[in-house]
Amino acid sequence: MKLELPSPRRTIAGRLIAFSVIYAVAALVVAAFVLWFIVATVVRQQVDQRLDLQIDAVRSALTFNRDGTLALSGNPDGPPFDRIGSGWYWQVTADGRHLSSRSLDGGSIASPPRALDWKRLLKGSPQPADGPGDKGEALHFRVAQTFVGGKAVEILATAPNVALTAPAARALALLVPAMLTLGAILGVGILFQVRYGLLPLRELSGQVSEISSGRLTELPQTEVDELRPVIGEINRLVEHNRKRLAETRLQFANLAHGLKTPVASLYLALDDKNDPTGEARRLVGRIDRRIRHHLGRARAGVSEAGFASSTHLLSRVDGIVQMMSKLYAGRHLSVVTAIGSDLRISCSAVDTDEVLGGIIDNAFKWAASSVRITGTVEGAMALISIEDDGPGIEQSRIAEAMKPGVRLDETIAGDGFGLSIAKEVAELYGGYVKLQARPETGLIAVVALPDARGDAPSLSS
Amino acid sequence: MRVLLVEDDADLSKRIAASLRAESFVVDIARNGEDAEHAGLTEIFDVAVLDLGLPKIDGVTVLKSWRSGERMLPVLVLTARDGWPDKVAAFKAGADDFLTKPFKIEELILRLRALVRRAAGHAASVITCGDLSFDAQLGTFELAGLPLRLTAFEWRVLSCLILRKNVIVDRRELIERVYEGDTDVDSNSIEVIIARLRRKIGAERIGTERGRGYMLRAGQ
Repeated sequence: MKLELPSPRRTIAGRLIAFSVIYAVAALVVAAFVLWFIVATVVRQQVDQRLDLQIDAVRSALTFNRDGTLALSGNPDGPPFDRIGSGWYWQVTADGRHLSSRSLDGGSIASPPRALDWKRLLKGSPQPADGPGDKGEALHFRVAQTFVGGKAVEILATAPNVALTAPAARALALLVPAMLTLGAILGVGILFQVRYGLLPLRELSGQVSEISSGRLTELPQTEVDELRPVIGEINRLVEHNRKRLAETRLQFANLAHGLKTPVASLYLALDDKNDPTGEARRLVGRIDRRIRHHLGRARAGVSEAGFASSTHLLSRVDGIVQMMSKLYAGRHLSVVTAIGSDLRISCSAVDTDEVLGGIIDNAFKWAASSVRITGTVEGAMALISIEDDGPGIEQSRIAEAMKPGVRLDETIAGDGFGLSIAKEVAELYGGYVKLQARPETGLIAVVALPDARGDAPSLSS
Repeated sequence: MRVLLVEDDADLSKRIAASLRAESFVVDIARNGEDAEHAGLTEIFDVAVLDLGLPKIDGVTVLKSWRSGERMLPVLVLTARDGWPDKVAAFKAGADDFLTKPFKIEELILRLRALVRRAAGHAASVITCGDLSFDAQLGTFELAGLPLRLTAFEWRVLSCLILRKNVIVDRRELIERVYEGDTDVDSNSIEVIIARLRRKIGAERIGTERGRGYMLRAGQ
């Protein structure tokens, strides 16, 4: 599995990973510090115990000679108190005179200043303190005030500071790589967790794209509870839009019927007797052209661009060609359709008919003997080329032919809106309609519509 | 030629029917999809003019119902909708031609005649039977190169017979194609028309197949 680090802020995965990593690093730093503190405390306690034991040993060995001088009944200088300059020292002070460990080698250390602790003083238990040794080295002290033979005696035992810090430092040296390893394991875990956790969202996003490209008509249900309402809502919206579009279409159809039926009636009612100059019939013609123009514009407006659609191109073209073959049966045209049976386009069936109907009709209308329709895929677009061997259009007049309401030849039936509506609908899908002169004679119309398998270009609004 | 005119707008259907009758068509009118479906499935018509936007049942559904009931009469779809999807849907349902409203009545008549002729299996617009010829596009008869003057009923019977020349046309079917649906038909009236036609084009041309019907032959 390939793990990609998404950019923070811009993606949910990025946000989750960034937050988790920062949190894990902070937790590891705190944990490392706490562990180090525990180790340092335990080491200090152990050193204190050792010093206290030494103080007890010295205290129990302490006696006074008959002359009142201090003496030891035994030798308490076990290692490391026997190593000169080791920092492990003990010293007994009474009446300004000292008894000290061998390690002090006859030297003496000053008792460090410390807060007066009555509790310890009364119990005779040692008090901690820090201070310099006889050579100025940093020492950790335990100092006990006690009475031996009725005399006040101060017993102190020291350990070098390094005996406290060295084990803690060693622990830290082990903790840091351990924490780094833990951090790395956590980091990988976070990546997998985010990836697994966001998998349903990624799937959802893929399915939404499939709806846009027409491979899905609705989102499939999911086992993820949190996404169920979202999926339900998206499906409801898609369905609502589809229904509204169908209703709007029906409204336009009814509007067309409602407007044009009386116009047709009026047109049939007028003849040379009641309209000798033909003025009324011309007016009816104008009304009809206006209605056609605005209904045509409205039809382009209710295009299904942006909705789920994956239309089998060949079956749509076959439907239109069958229709034209019936309409132009008397022309005996040879019709060749070369479109792959697997070619699907991201354009609804209704809009495909709207785009191709008028153009194929033109080809049949003008062809001298043959019409050829081919479908190819170029990049993300399916190119449908419709050729006829009719008179064609001069290159200079091609742009004019695409304008709404323009008819280059008034002798053949038509309203001149077909091509401009086809162009408009194709453009809504990010496609186009182009006319070009055929090298021999005739016209080639090229229609580009998004291929349903390719990455459709972004839809224009 | 008997036409089923399916149009919900009373004014428009009245005008179309009047123009078609003036051209000797027999016109039955249905004002909604339900009546149209029933008429198309139960009666004999040479051609139907079908509006798509109909009350009760829409035009495409009516057409599908006729086709699934194996009614193969040619159908010209009359539509107010210019959009190609509606036209393609109508053709997929079995339409043979279409006209967009508004239209010229002459255009409708020409197309209906062409549809009837093609449905009868005649590729050329002029159908001949001996020296009798019928221009199915213009709806005119000629006998030995001279125009033949016929009444509306005579024209209906003769056009029906010449479209299926050398084939026995059932008497009942002939009556259905000649009289409008709500007409009281006298059972002898078709014989009267046949007799008048025999006088005009020659008795030997129209044969009577007893108990079955009539047949137009090329004659001597």
